[in-house]
Amino acid sequence: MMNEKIELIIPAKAENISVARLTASSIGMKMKLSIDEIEDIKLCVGEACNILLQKSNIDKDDSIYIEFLISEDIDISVSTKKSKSKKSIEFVNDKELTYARMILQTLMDCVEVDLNDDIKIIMKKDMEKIDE
Amino acid sequence: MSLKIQETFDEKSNELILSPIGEIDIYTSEQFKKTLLDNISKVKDRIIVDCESLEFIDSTGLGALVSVLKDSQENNKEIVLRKVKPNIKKLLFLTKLDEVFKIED
Amino acid sequence: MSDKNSDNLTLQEISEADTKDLFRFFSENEDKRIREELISRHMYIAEILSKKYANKGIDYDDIYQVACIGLIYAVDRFKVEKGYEFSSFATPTIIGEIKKHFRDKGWSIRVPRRIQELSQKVNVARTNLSQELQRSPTIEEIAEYLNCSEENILEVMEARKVYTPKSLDITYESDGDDKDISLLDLIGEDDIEFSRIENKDFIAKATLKLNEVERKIIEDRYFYKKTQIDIANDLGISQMTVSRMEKKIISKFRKELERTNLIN
Repeated sequence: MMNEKIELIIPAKAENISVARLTASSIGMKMKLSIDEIEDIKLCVGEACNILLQKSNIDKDDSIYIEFLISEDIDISVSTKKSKSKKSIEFVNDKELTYARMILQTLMDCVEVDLNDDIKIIMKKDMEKIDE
Repeated sequence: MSLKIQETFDEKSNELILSPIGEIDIYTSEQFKKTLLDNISKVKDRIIVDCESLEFIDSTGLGALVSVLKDSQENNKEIVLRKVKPNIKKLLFLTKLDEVFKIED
Repeated sequence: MSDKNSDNLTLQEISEADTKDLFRFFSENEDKRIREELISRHMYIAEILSKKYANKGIDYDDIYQVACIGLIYAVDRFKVEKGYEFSSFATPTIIGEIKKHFRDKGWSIRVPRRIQELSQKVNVARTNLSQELQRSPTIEEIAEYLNCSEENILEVMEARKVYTPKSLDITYESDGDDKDISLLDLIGEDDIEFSRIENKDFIAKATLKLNEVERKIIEDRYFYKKTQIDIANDLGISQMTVSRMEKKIISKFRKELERTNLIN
């Protein structure tokens, strides 16, 4: 079982989020996931990036770090290094994040927001077992 | 990824149709929202969004749709989504927006 | 297309037909091909509902199969004339099948294997010790008998209370009323928070009326799907207290619902 880490760093600008989604799709294809699973992951990586852009205090000079850990499952972490003041993300209570939250919680097996030094959104998807 | 929005008026059915081509995401959702707002003020009852060439929409795109609908609801206007692709239909169901927008084949 | 005769439609015509028309045709002649097309068009409903209920330890494939059966029932029973959207009609049917599946399968779905096995041993231990001691054995005695820690025994006791077939809902017993109303029935959703525009404000207001601890409990239970034991440990209180607080929260929601006239 392969164990790989793939990292992507993009400037924190809305126009770059499509790059993150495309990378997620490519990784999904590399893992031979179904079209549905690839769509799910692509959407969720995009949503996690959206949350950071909308709700943390990063600006276009900062970067978004995306890490894909591939083994039996996919573990994805989307994070940003916070510079000045700590601005925490109210993942659960923020009404504006309603749709992003519903999407992440439904399509991913596990979603966590980690607010230590950086703001990190961690998601995990177990691969569907395909009978071959 | 970019977004191009075609605006057509169908004489036969007397409908104003917006056709987004490409992706509506955090980068293009403002553009989409603005176009929607500009056009919904031109119609009396409903506006059609032809989604045949809409490949992708995320929460920001959905948010744009919802906010325009809320604004126009006082005037009793409807937003109809037509020819929605399966992945987007699934998203609308997941977010329970399939009951907020009229979805036509 | 709507005035077309539904006899002898080609496969091509079926695949291109409007969904509402297809339902109409289907009720007229029960063509199996139309049924297939309708089911296939709405698979996403079964998929999303299954994902909402699937969890760590709960087999998605299992639930998905059950959800698909629910979808088939819904397709067979849906009447276009009534004017409802198919997804609104199908959702309760499918959720019903999923819940039934949980009830039938029992706690084997959610409880870790080791707890289930230990639970059987606890039963045996209890019986044997009761006979020996001529009274109910203490947790300590059971633990010693089975050569495991008291914590393990407590875990089993808690699991029996928490992981019952009904634990997917939380039951609120109303005074003098035989009907068990679950939180899910009250809210009518599988999430405690929903984005339907008319309900957004309600949930925001109702949650505001909860204090911080109560809010944490609801978040943990429904968003993070934690058990009452986990929450109790987090908060440094007993599982019983968490259970009592949940009941209180449900009654707060009920009052808020009544106030906003969302239930009859």
